[in-house]
Amino acid sequence: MAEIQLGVIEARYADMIWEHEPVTSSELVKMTAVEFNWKRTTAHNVLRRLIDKGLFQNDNGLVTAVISRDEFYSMHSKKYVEDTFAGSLPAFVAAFMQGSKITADEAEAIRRMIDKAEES
Amino acid sequence: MGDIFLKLLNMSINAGWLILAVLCIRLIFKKIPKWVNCLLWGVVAIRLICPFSIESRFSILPSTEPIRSSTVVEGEVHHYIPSIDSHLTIVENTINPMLTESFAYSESDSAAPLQVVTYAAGFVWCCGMLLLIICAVVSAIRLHMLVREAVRVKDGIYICDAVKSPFILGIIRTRVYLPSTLGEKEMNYIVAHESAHLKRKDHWWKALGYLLLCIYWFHPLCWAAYALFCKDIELACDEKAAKDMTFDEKKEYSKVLLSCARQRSLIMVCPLAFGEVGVKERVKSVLNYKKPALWIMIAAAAVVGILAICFLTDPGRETEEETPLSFPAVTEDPDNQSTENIDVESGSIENQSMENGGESTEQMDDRQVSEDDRIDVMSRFMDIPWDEIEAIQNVGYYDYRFDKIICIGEIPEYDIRVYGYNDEDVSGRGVAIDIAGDVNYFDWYYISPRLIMPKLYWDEEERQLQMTIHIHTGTGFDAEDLVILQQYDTGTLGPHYFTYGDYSEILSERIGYSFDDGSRELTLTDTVTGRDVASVTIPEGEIIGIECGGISYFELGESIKLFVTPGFFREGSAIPDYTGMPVLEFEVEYEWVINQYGGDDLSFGLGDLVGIRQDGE
Repeated sequence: MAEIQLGVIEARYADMIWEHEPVTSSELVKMTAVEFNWKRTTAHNVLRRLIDKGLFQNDNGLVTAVISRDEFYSMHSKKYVEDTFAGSLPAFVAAFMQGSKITADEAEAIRRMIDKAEES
Repeated sequence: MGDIFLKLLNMSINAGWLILAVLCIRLIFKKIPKWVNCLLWGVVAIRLICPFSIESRFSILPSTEPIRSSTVVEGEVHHYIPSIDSHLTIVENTINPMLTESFAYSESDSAAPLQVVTYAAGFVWCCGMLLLIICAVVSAIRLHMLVREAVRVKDGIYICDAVKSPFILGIIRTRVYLPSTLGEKEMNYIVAHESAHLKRKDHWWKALGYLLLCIYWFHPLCWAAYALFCKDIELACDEKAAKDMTFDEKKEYSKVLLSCARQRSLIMVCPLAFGEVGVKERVKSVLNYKKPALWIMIAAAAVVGILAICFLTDPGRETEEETPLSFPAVTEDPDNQSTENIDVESGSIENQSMENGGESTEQMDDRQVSEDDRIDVMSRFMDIPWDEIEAIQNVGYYDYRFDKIICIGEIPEYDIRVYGYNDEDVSGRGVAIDIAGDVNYFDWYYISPRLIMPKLYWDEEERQLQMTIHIHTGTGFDAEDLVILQQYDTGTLGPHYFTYGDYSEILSERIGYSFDDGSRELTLTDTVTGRDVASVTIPEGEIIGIECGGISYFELGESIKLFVTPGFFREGSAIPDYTGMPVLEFEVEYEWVINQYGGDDLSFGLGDLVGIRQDGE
């Protein structure tokens, strides 16, 4: 599932769908026409691709999400940490924080997350 | 098609020299700014586009038309035999004679070998050109489909997921397409480069270059020229974009070049692509770019100018004695009914028409023949289905008012029939001669109110048809024209005339006279032999002149005879008197000569005076 790659524009389109779902395909056509200047057929084609990749589904013209946005990007992050930091979360955080300081609120949020993760 | 190809071939050979020169210049002058190179390619393009050119002494090209479709042998121009026009004696002495031999043909061939070869070559060329054009069109369509999902970023700049390497697409609505994965900095450099392309109108020049390549695909140097031209365009754009960059910026730009070059996965035929051309060289060029000194610019301008003069002009044609040819036209079968003689010189279809003799002031009919009448009558004649004409059984003129087609003569042994046409507007005009199935039409008047039919004689050996046409009538006027028609292998008849005007002119010099007032004897002399031929006693009146030819007729056969009755003019009478005059019998001589146009002609003359018949004989 984490193998799903999205191009930059595909990602923007997917974001648009996630933001507005459930939404009719004709609505999407109108939105992409405004946002991207796409023709009807183009919008349908890209939607088809996203559906094939397993992100969305089309039920009689109504488009809904199969995977939510958070799910999708978290999968990607996990995959990234796996590929780049050999699955080591601390290594990832260390790299992420390289040279930057976190605010008090951020530190608090992280502590709470750690507590929750430890419990389960 | 073959002619076009031959012309293009010649143009490409001349352009080939130019391309070689440009290649040399590029090698020698590596420091010239690349936009000068593009100008040089522009000169090449002009050479390839213009079918005509100015002649000048400074032309370096060896010849205007390297491959000629005609050759000169002993001063005579032979068309449709190729020859190579170079100034090398080797070529003149070995290759050209070989060409003459292998492309030889005879007059009766329907097409010269050269015509066949050039037509075939032209066909192949056309196929190649179409193939290349189709390639470009298909490629363009595929790219357009690819960028359907592109999204506009700025005016004319689009990003697209499927695009791996930036390129420009479109001639009219030109757009720059960038990969969607570009960072902002990278994007700026690339946009700078592509904008430089657009400002220089490179998308048009490259398309033009490709079009020229489609046309001249058969010339290998043209491919080299196109490839180098594309390279020069890219380099020139790099220069333009890098002109105002700092060294650090140039480094960044090179990095972008490298990254985009690696991702090349599309093979694009036509549009300008960023990573398409030699990246290493481009990086070097960008990093080392320095604004060129003034003297280099001047030198560059001079080089381009000289090149243009030397190669855009032609050395001038060698003056050939262009002699027009008449080709024996192919006769079609009678069911098709349209045969013409094509006269190359005038480039028009010559209606074979007789000239009615020079001195015939006393023709009974005065028909005004305008150009339109001439064409109308014959086309109406030729519209008549041949079976109708063939069906006419009787020979002779029954009633010229009612019979549209009459048979005016025949030689059944040789299957020869001659027909005359009576048009509703103009009667007695239009002749069709059928010799064993080969039909020829002639725009002649063939009859007079005296209704004397033509005489015919066929010389089987010489394949000549002799024909008399009796159209000169009037008071004291009763003369025929002679026409000898030579039949060619194709079935065409070539007419050769000996008209009243011709022989009366000869006779006026040939026959002299003297009149003895005392004896009232009019003596006629043959000025050629100097001998007296006849004497006639004229009882009264003062003789002021004689006339020769007004009363005459021919006898056809292996040797043709002209029988002339001279007449004399009495003072006070405009009409000659023929009373008591003898009939002089002349031999008609004719032989083949080359006329002023280089074609064959029968030349007529009067030979010996072989007989004299006095009244009562």
